[in-house]
Amino acid sequence: MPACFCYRGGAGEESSALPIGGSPTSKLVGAVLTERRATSLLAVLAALLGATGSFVVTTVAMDSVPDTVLVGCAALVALLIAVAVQAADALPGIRSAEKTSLALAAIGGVLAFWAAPLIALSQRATDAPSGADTLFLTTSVWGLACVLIAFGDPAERPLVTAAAGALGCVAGAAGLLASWESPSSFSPFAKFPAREALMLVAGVFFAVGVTALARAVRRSGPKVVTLVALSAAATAGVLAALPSLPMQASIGWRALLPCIYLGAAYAVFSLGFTRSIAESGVSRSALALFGVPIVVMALAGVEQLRSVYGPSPVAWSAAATGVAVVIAGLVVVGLAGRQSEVGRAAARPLRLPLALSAVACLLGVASLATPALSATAQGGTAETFSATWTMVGAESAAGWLALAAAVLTLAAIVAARTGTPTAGWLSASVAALVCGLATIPLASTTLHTWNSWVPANVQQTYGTEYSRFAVEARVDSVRMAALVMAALGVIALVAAMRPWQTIGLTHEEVSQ
Amino acid sequence: MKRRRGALMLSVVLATALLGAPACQRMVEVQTGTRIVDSQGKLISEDIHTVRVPANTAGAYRVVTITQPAANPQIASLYAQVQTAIAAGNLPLAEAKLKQLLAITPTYRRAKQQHDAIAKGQKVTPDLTPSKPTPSTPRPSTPTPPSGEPTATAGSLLRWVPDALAGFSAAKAGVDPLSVSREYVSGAGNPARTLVVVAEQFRTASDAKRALQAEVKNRYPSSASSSSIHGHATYFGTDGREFAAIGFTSGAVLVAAEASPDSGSPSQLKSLLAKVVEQLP
Repeated sequence: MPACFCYRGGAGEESSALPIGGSPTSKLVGAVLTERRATSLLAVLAALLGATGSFVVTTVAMDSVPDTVLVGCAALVALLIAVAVQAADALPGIRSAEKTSLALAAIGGVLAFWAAPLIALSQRATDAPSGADTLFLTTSVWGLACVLIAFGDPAERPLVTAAAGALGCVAGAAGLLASWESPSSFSPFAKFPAREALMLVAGVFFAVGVTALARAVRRSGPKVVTLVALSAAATAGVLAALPSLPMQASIGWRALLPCIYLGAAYAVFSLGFTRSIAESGVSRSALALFGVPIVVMALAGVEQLRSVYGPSPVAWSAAATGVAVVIAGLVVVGLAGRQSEVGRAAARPLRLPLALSAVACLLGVASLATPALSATAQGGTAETFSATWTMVGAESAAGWLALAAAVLTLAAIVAARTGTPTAGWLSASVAALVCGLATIPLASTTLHTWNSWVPANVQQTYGTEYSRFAVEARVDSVRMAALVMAALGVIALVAAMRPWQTIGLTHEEVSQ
Repeated sequence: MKRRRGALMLSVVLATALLGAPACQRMVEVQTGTRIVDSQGKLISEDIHTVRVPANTAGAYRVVTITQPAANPQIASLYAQVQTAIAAGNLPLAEAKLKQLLAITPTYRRAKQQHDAIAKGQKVTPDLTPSKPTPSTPRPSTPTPPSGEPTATAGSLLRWVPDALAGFSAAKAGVDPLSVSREYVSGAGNPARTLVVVAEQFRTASDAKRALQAEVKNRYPSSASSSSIHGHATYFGTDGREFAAIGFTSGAVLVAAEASPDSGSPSQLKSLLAKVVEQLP
């Protein structure tokens, strides 16, 4: 590995950030406010704002600018901004960087900053798929892809709790987005399955690109990698946009204005995301993607408060519950650093909690196939359609939250067994309880409003005087059993680990 | 290794649950039958029952509402007098009243049967059931599922507006509840200045054909011709000034492509629009 850049941390770095003396409160504050954590947090926040801006601007601009032009020109604008911000620092590094590192950065840039957004954008029409579906698939699910793919890279492999936290984020985002409207337009893989599957393929492109970027960052640092990655993305983007540019130019260059806005968002995202990869790894950088639904929700809330609207379509209590679950998941992912950086205490058997959580997981998986909701669709005038049917756990927010609760419990116990820091397994335990409690307000939230077999004229008028769609929660004993077992698992884990005895101690002290 | 095997097994179970649950044939309870109301919306009668059917056939089951004119009080009174007369054994009076009644409404309840029975000297019994007229146009209680008519979605219509058409650059598709449209910008050397393809879903194939007549044939009557292209019975015509259109129906879907020439008569676009149809499904 070249000497120009390496992790500032290393084995035991997480605990070294904790101050040795002082009260538990000051230790906590000190732990949170270390320079590296502050930089990492700022980088994630920048990437989060950039990702949110990209989604919002893309949604507004995609109808007026061809896909290739929008993405290509935005990548070019992002490159120009990155050059203005970082060229002085990065150019010497580029000259001395390894060819392999530059190639990885270029490949990562093309995949993550050009191909992935272009594939996703090319699958979007005006409202097909819906904004809620698109947001879910291109932020939360892409974040999950990043966390999962990080397990394949030994240098990036996070604690097992990261995967469980990511699942919690995805389940929470699904609950949140399904509560945006009533009846909801959130129906992933129901109305446009092929287009949405391609958005997932784009997510794989993004995650692979991010992995390549992470490898390059480890060799050459974030500034060099950002410039090279954006250069490659801009080159590919401009080449792909060339055939459509004359047509767009004939309309007038002002028509390219959205590209500048999107380019600014791309720049903020790419600079923040690459820096975040360097500071805290791939899985923690995914926080920037998991957080987007919350920020978009907040923007919608602000818009509601500042403008004149009719009745709010948002189911606020359910949406707030979704937000709480996402935040709990974010904390888990955020505290689950790279395995290589985390110190280990002695392994503990924890057989009873493990058995309880394993049963909870099996029941959680089974509850995806058990009846969870009763649905009714009615509509039409002279010829009325009226149907009642049962929806399974996989089609409900509560089903996935129960599974997330069980998986988080299992992950917490596995983490505790292998001696990872208290914060890691404790946050997963808390998130498991949050997921479990969230199944109550989200019990009647469906993830599947659209059905191919219900007449289109009925479904298109849901929520009007012409037709209605309603769901009612059913008592699902399998899901309840999963939640009870998960809760017992958490209780048994906390009773065995006694975290209150280690408050204020460093991880090394706990290990001893 | 053991850990990986466990994770793999969990993934398989999860994937099976995910893919298996929706793949199982869902059963749906749907209502079917007939409801008869008067012109003021008051229920006259209903014959509705719930059946449990596979989800993929559920869309064909409906409750048909038939509106009948409100019962005429004079007729009802006349009919009641007939029944009183029959009950009292005064058949000549009943027959006379029935003749009056049938002259006004020949299908009113059991009036015709009672009149015929009296005329033939057969035994006749009074109709003592409450006033509940039968529908003048009986309908099947369980509609037969229409064959080959998809319960269309905008998603299924998108195939009619492909991402690529030779010689054109596609703009974003505009998706409305039951229709999609897409504008195509012509490339260099293309005789058409603009091209728009529209696909609209109707309830039945005959509705779509009516729309073809109203929206394509009537609006583009000049230089009209019909031909079979790519298995579709197409109609080509122009408005005689600047637009040419080609249209056809596919089941309950109306597909139309409209273009304007860069210069000259719109009828010169016939071969170009035919080529467009050849590129559609």
